[in-house]
This record gives sequence, structure tokens and C-alpha cells, in this order.
Amino acid sequence: MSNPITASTTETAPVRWLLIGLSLAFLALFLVLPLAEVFAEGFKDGLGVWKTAVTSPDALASIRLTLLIAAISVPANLVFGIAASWATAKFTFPGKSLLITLIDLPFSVSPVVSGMIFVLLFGANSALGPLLREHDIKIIFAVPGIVLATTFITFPFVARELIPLMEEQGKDDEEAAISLGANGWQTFWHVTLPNIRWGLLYGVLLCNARAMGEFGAVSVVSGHIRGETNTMPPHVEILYNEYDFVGAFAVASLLAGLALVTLVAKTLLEWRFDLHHKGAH
Amino acid sequence: MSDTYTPTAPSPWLRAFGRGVFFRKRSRSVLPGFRLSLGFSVAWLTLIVLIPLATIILKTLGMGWDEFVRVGLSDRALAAYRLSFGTALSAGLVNAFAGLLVAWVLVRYDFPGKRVIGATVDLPFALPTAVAGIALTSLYGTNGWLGAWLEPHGIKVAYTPLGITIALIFIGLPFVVRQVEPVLADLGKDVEEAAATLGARRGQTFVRVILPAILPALLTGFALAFARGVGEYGSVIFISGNMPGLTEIAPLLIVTQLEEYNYAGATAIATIMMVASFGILLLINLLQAVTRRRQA
Amino acid sequence: MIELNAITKQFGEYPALHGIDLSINKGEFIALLGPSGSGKTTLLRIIAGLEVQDGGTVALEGEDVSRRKVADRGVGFVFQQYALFKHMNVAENIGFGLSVRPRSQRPNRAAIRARAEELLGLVQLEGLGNRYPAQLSGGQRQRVALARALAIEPRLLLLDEPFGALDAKVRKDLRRWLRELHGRLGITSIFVTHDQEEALELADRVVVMNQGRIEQVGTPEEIYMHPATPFVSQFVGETNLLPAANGAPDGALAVYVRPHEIEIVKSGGEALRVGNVFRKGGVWRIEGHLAADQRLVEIDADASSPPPASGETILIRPKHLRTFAQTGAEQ
Repeated sequence: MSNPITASTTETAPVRWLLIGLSLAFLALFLVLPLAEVFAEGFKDGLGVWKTAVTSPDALASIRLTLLIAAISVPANLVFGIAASWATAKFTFPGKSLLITLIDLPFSVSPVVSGMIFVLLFGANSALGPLLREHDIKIIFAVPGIVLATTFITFPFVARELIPLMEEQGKDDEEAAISLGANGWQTFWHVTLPNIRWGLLYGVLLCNARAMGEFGAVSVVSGHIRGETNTMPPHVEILYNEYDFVGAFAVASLLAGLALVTLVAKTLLEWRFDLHHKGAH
Repeated sequence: MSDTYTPTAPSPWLRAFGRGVFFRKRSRSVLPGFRLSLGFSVAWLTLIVLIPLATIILKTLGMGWDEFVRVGLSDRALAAYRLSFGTALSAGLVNAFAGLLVAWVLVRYDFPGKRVIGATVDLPFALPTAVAGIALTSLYGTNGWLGAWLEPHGIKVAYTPLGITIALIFIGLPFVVRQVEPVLADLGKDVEEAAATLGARRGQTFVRVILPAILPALLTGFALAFARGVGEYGSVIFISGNMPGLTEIAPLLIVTQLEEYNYAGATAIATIMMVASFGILLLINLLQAVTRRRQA
Repeated sequence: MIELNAITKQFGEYPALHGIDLSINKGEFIALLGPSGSGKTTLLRIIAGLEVQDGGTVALEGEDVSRRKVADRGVGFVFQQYALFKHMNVAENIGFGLSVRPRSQRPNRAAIRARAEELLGLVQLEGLGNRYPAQLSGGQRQRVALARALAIEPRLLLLDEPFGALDAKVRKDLRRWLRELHGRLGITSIFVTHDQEEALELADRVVVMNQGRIEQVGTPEEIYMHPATPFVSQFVGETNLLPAANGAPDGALAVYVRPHEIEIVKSGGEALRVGNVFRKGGVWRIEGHLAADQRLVEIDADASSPPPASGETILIRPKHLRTFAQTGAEQ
């Protein structure tokens, strides 16, 4: 640059680099460093120790349970998300905006309260408690409770991605398909689904990350029974509280790996398919 | 009725076609599946979200005022609220500044590795909170990379409110960045140029032209980060130390009550937290309505 | 008043301006006319200081301002999309330029408001000072933008496609109004447009630009009647390109003739096979192909007599010739 004055709507180079430097330093300190710490601590004593820690019976049980919970909660919310977005984006009816608001409700509830409500509903002291005991049904401190709490926590993820996407696409395509003689399911499979598949994938991705990583709600309903009701995050907590730091960070590094995969996939989806996202959760 | 076609008003042609073929009276759309999809959505929403949440209200109502006050407003609970709201507020404020800075840099400047850095901002959304919690504790602990360096300077982070605030900064940052980013990107360059041609210095342009335009988004981001911070559990409990009255956050107090099978106590605390949160969010919404009113 | 000297500008690999020289007198109303990509907006932004030239100088009132920041040039700029501050009301928008002055030169609040009201009167928006931009129509917004630019008492007013975002009717009214306003204020003004009609109607002088160069500078009459280059002839007004053989001076390779400069003759003309014929305002527009080389020719014929029928062959002859010593490569 031969001319010393800069364009009117940007800062001078030193200011620019100062601001870039400041924000990079902030991100490095507050976001990247904790992530690096997970891997550093997890692999501190070498790959062998890490491997032993993540293949211990309790760790394996927690991994299995985590996968199981996600395998139930995510599809459940996927089906709900599609149904809710179809109803709200393709039709008008009274109470529609109320419905959309209510779908977002779980986002504004503390994770521990999300767990607590199921304890209130199904716990030993609840109204349903005696009835459940009588039929020998265990919900709280058992897998069903974890599934319920996780489903509650991840409830809005898919719907929230799909509703704006479907609204934006309108219903011209579907009406055209119907007018050409397609039935409802054919229209959905051949017209709607191809239009929303990347947004759907995006929602599922975020939903899954949260389902596998949820801690607060799950620790309230799970009862922390080792090898039985511990998903990976509460298992990390137990190991950590028992001062088994290497074990805790080893399992944590698996979860951090999941987070990285999620981030990469999410970023790829955003670049490739130009999905715009504002204020995701 | 206007003759322009909108998604909510089917064109006359399609409406006639729909009547002829489907005889749908209820929804005037030709698309099928309204009853099925709405019915399923509402049922699922009711079962998973509404009924469970309603138990809080029922439990609170069945408690009696005196007991509610005794547990919900005990000294220990009050200290927990102060801590939770105070740290969430501080973290929210830090994030309002830092988030604005990060969003500004990401939108306005080009630098190597920008896309990767843009993606890092979402890390707190993707990383399980418990993992963040132990990592922060380990970092800021006496022997941690940062703790070992800070503590000789008399700055103790782990097991203090400062540590809680740092955990909440981690959790809340993406809320602010993701709210501000699109608004900043949409803000036309021409308004800044207009300010410059009118004689405004860069600083004046920022304060008088740019900041007011992004203020509503900044407030929303702050509110989201704050609300999340008040209820946050996983990333905080490891670093907080959990000393009743000192470093015990409200969500932890709820868990403690539940572990003691004191469901009434837990409910009372949860109710007060939620009412306070909603109150603050309402206030922020009002503030926003004022700033946003004219810019519609 | 304004002297541009050898201004060059390059955007990456793409050269936007190749050495622009231009001088503008005090009080003139100048149009920068050209197709998109001709460099006209870039030139305007360089004069304002919104863009920095790679080479050359900009002088205002004898002072070289090439290195002055935009904020120090005292130039009013009106943007195509208004660029009003949405969170400020109309009066605050207009007063903005005064309110950001250094404290020592800043009028007090009441004085700023009074000045805003005065300008609102000037742009015929009395009483709208408390409205917000979102509550105004496009034409009103553009007038607020103009008032805002005038508030700083600029020595030069620059307008970038000022009517570009408005619909045809509002455009026309605003155009007439702007010409009157210029007549009243006499402030040196330059506006950018791609609309030749707008340029010819408003400007004292028109600067026709193409591919980063000035093709011609002249009064609207000169530009229209005596285009200096084939480009000007084709870009401003409608033009037929005829083979040079048609009575052109020696050496000329192409002949440019406006549709109304062609007459239909009984004998001694070129044969034209008539295609479409339709009414265009007060004249008949006849489209046809020359019998000799099938090239398309447009003619405006007097509408007081009936037009030739489609398919008929008529004889035509240019009344007025314009020749350039160039081939028709730019057609």
C-alpha cells in the first residue's frame, strides 16, 4: 500500500491486528486451553494407560449406556421435529406461535430442574411412586428416567432447525406434487425430505451431541449406580471425585473427541450447504 | 382477499382443486397430514415437556406459603441465589464485551485461520459440560497450567466465585457471538460511510451508529448467556468448591435437596430461580422492545 | 473548483480507472454517466475519499485533498440506498454531522435541532423530524438523506445513483425537484447515473464514462447531437450503425444515425424491408432490415401520415451523418 490513508470503514492495520490478537487470545484462553487440557491430562501417562481407562468394565458400560440413550432420544426427537415442523410450517392454525414457544421451553430450564421434574413425577415420594413400586417399574435411578430426562433436554433441537427451514421453503413444491397425484407419504419422501435433509442432519448432529453429553439432568435421575445407570458424563464425575484423574480425563477425552467431530461436521454442513444459523444452543 | 399468493393463503386455483379432490373442510390446505402431525406433536410435547414441568407448579402450590418461604428463602438458599445470579451476571457482562469483540473480528477482518476460529466459538455448545468442568478445574487448580501461575500472584480461581464466573464465561460466549454476528454482517457498510462523510471519526461512528444498531442483538445474547449461566451445573460444580453459603450455586443446592429426598425444598428453590430468571428476562425483553421499536 | 488529475484505481487484477482527468467549475451540476463497471461510482467515491486512488490527485478549491480522510473533506454524499441511521429519528439523522463536530465547533442541541428543522423545510418534509426512517417512503428517505448531507454545508455534493432505488413516478418528481433545488442553492454537485435520460435532463455537463475512461465531457446538447466516440453515440440515445459507403466522407468506416435522423425518400435511398411497425409516443417506430446486408435499422417516422406496412420495401436516407474513424467493433 503506497497510500498512507485507509478506507473509511475499517481500522488502521495496527488497531485491526490488536483486535484480532485480543479476540484470539480470549478464545485461546477460555475455549481452546480447556479443550487441550482434556487431551493433555487424558494422555498424560501414555496411550496404554488411556486405553486401560477407557476399556475398564465401568467405562465400557457407561459408553454402552450413553449410546443406548442417544439411540432412543435422538430418533424420538427426530420424529417429533419432523411432525412439529410439518404442522407449523405447512399449515396455519390458532395457537401456532404458542406451540413454537412451548417447544423451546426446555432450553430455558436449568438441567438440574429438567432432571428434578421427573423425580417429582416418578420418584419414590411422588404420587405415582407407590403405583410404580407395586408393579415393580423403575423409572428414577434407572434407564427409563435417563431416557426421559435426555429427551426433555434435547427436545427442541431438531424442531428448531426444521421449522424455519420449512417455513422458508413454503409449500409450493408439496402442492405441486399433490396436484400431480402424489399421496402424502410420497410427497414427504420425494419432495419435502430432500429439501430439508441437510437441516435435518444438522439438527440431529446437535441433538446427538447434547444427548450424549448431558450431565446435570442425567445425574439427578440416574442415581449414579456404577456400571448400571452411569452414562459417560456422570462416570467422568465419579472418577474425578475419586481422584482417578487420568481415568476421568481419558473418558472425558472420548467426549471431547465427540465434540470435535460434531464441530467439524457442523462446520462442513454450514459451509457446504450455506445453512444460516443464529443463536443456536 | 388479495390476489397475491402467500404460503398461508392457497391460490384460488389450488383451493378449488383441493375442494374438488380432497373435501377437506378443516384445513384449507391441500396438503395432507395436518391432523396427524399436529396431534402427534402436541401429544408428545404434553407428555415429555408440559406434564413434567407442571409438576413443579403442582408441588409448589401444594406446599403452603410458610414452608415455601422457610426453605426457599433460607440463608443458605439466599446465598446460593446471590452467587448464581451474581456470577451469571458478571460472566454475561464479560461475554457481552468479549463476544462483541470476537463477532466484530470474525465479521470485519480477514486473517489466516479465520474459518477454524469461527468454528471454535461453538465449542461450548458441543463439549459436554462435565468435561469442561473438570478441564477448567484442572487448569486453574493449584498445580494446573494457569493456577500454578496465578496463585503466586494472589489470584485464586479454583473453588472461588471467580472460578464459577470463568466456567460461565466459557459456557456463555457463543450465545453472544452467534447473536451479534449476523446483525453485524447485515449492517450495511454505507451507513458507516455516511457517518464518515458527515465528519464522524471512527470512534464516533462506532458508538453512535454501529453500537445502537447491534444493541438489541447484544442484549439478546447477553440475556441468553445470563439465563444459561444461572441454571448451569456441569461446568460449574467441579470448579466451585461447593461450600454452603460461599461457593454453593443454586442448581447444586437443588441437587443436594433431592439427594436428601427433600423434594419440597428442591422445588421451592427451583421455583424461585425460575421466577427470578423469567423476571430478569422479561426486563431485558422490555429494554429490547424500547431499543428495537423504531428500527422495525 | 475540482481538479482531478490522472486518477488511477485498480481492484486486484481489475483496472477500474485509467488516468482520469477532469475539471469541474464552481456551481456546476455534473452527471457521471456510464454503464455498470464503467468506473463512475469508483470515481465518485474517490472524490469523496471513501475509496483511495492508486495514483493521481484530487484537488478541491485549489487544495490537494488526496491524502485527506473522508471526514475532513467537507463533502456531502448521498447514497443509493439512503444509508439513513435507523435508530435515529429524522431530525437526529440530519443533525448528525453537526453533532459529531469537535466540541469547540459544535453548535448546541437547540441550534442543531433548529438547523434540522430548517433543512426539513428545504426538502419539503416539515413536521416529520420526529419520525423514524422506517416510517417514511422511499422518496422521503432520499430527501432526508439529502438534507443530512446538506447539513454540514459541504463544498461539494456527491450523489450516487440517487434515484436508483425509487420507482418511476417518484423518480421523475424527485428529479425535477432536485434540479430546482440545485438552481436555488447553486452548490457544486456531481451525480452518478446509468440512466442517460436522467443525465441529459439534470446536468449542466455530462461526463460519459466507459471501461474506466472518460469518453466525452460536454453539455447534454453536445453529448446527444455531437457524440465524440462511437460508444457515446450508442450509449446516449438510440443509434443505427450504417455501412460507411452511404455517402460518408473518405476514410470513415462506420456511420451512426439516430432513428429520427433517417428520412423515407421516394428515390435515391437505400432499400429497407419493413418488419415491425408500432407507435412510440408521437412517432411511428419502424424496424426493418437493409436489403443490402440484412442489418437491422430503426427509424422514427412522422406519425401524421400512415406508416408503411410490414413486408413493404421502402427507400431511406440519413438526414444527418456522424462518422468515426473506427470500425463497428464496439457495436
